[in-house]
Amino acid sequence: MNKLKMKVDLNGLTLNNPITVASGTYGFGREYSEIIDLNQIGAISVKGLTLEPREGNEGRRMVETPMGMINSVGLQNPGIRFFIENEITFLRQFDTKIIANINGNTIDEYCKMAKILSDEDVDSIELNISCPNVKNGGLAFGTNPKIVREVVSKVRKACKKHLIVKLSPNVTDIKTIARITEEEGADCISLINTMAGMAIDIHNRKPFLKRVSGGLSGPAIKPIALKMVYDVHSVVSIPVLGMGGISNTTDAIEFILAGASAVAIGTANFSNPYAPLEIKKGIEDYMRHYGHVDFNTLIGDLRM
Amino acid sequence: MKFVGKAKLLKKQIINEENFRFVIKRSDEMGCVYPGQFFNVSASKVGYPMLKRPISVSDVGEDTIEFTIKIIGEGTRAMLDYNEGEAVELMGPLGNGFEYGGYRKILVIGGGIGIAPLKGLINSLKKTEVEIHSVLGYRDAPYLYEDFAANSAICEIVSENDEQYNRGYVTDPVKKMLESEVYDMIYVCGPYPMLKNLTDLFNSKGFRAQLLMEEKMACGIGACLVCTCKTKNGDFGFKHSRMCKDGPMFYSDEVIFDE
Repeated sequence: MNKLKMKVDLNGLTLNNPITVASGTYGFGREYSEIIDLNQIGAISVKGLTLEPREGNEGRRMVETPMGMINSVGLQNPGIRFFIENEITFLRQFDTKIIANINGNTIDEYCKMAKILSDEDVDSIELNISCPNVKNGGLAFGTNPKIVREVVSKVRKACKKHLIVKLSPNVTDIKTIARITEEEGADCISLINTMAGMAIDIHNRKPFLKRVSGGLSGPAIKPIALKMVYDVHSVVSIPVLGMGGISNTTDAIEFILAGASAVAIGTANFSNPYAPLEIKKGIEDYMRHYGHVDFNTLIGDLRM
Repeated sequence: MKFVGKAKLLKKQIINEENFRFVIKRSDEMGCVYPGQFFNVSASKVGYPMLKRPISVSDVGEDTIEFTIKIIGEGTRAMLDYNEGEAVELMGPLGNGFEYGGYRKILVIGGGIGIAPLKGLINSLKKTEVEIHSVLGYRDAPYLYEDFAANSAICEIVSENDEQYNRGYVTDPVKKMLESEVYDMIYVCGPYPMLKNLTDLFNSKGFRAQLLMEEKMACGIGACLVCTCKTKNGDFGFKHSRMCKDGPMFYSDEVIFDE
């Protein structure tokens, strides 16, 4: 059997394989390390970090909807300092890349975090301008093209590491936002974050989530995510890290054919912790079946 | 040790209109399973609903695990479609269960389906010297009470609607028992208002209890942070502990009840 080449270069971040796990679904890898071999995963995007610790949103944080779930965690995390002091060493035991996902209330906070992490042992910084669950920052940055330009440009200057910008699907024109992101110096684009969504308890007539709406993830958003990855890939030349409801091999290969250089598994981990490993093996089987030796030949290989 | 995989459904038993029982083949890979722990159980064979359901262990046998499940929504209803002999996908055991070593006299308080995980507790204690007092509360006709009746020195049953029993809530007999008895530990599982009312009572009298709590969960192992229990201390004067990983058992003096 031919040895497959699974390594993929995301414009300065080389992954052993194109399977990553999505921020917010994997903590800092500790819990899942008791179940699966993290060495088999290309990269781990850690729980969204903020400059200071956050306890996150109060009240019910999750409601399941048809083939999806809406979460309203609100960036609960121990803060960037704790991450640096306690989590990086743990993750470094594994042969996987560490992506530090950062979230700011202000552009200044994003820059500070990028600067701090530039001197730490992480492989990439993922600028999250698309979290729907916090009052300031997050989504507010990612939906306005002017602000996207400003935040990416400033963080690029503060960041000495590989820089991924994570985009929100809650926009009218994803292509414009993606182009700006590339122009301002991002090394890679990841998309999509969750979609704004809502569910109501008809018996007490209240929204299930205390903050009314949250971020919808899971297979329900997959076709939308796929279209956005396809659109973005068609207008930028930097690599795209595709995500949004990927649950099995077929989903992952769809994203790769649409132009994703790598994929992230998120919500699927909850119902199937083995999903990243199964999908990795599934892609290898697919490559063998269709005679691909190098994974890179599969990226964007959509026949029109 | 966490088992992730499929286990055979040995027995499916309807208890009443709202509740049913699964007896699942227990594998060595599951390791020790303690009362108060739970498994994340796949709601259906076809992958819909998507998320696994956190179900408390209601008894542990030599090579079996029992779940007593209340139909509360689409997921638990879908579980009824499993047939005996089929494989059920599950992950567990998960969470921190009850702490129960070394007590001589305990009070066990259950409300509704919250009685199920306590059944596992008293069955693992019944061969020991511990004196068990039980208070069980139901909305309608009692169920799951047999093991409590057989193994408790005192077993009080109350029902909101069943006239054959003392009408009312568990708090009524509990108040009286706390006045005349001294317990080494109190164990509680039931609906949120019951936990809150009892905790107010325990706090006012200076008692400490183990509360087994619940919340909607996703990963079940502490990674996703969608299930929380508000607890005391922490950087902000409170802490959002993880229901699945830090709980689902919390001591009554740790928990902050809202509203």
